[in-house]
Amino acid sequence: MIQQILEAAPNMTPNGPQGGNLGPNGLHNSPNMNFIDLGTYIAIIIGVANICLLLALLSIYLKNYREIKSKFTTGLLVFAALLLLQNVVTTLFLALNVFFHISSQGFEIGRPQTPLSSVNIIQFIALLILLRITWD
Amino acid sequence: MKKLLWWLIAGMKGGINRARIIKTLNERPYNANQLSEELNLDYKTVRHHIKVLEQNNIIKATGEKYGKMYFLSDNMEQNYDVFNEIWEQIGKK
Repeated sequence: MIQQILEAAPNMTPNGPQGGNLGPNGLHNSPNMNFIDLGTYIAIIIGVANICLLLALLSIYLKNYREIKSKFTTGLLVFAALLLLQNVVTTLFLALNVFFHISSQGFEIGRPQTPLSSVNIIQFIALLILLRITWD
Repeated sequence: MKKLLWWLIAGMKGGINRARIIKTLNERPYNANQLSEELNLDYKTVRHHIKVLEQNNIIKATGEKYGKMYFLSDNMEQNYDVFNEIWEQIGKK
């Protein structure tokens, strides 16, 4: 009986990032919460970095598009714009969730912040490579 | 080769100047200094473009260090119509 309660207890804590700002007590009592918050913060920081990289790419592609109007330059422009939109939307939702406690229930990004942050990191590396070869 | 040219000219930063260098080198060989005067570009910019174009086997060099003359590679000359296709799109509204 006691064991069951103990096992159930940690599962009740990861209710999303909202609880993370409750105060030092909340953080000390639940290491899980700390971990989830960290994942969310990393996701937001990397998300902002991705947005910066995409803005740099977009400015280069826009300049090329202005001088050469073709399927190729249009494609690059739309590609960068869509990825930018995706990053702005996800980062905005995460930021609203963390800083203004606006719940995003019903949205997929309400919970799995750790996978999201790893996806963001992978995307960051990919964009960094793309920017490097675009800039050369 | 077609994809590579598109990327080098329309996909990268400074691609238009790269196209102008290819266009100029098609007329006759130049060295880096002459190119920068001819195209009114910074010498360092020209050097950078030359490096990229050389790495991608678009142009070739003869001669020693400072007098190095550049001309189009065989591969580039065979595909010059592809370049013309891109060139025609530049500045077109």
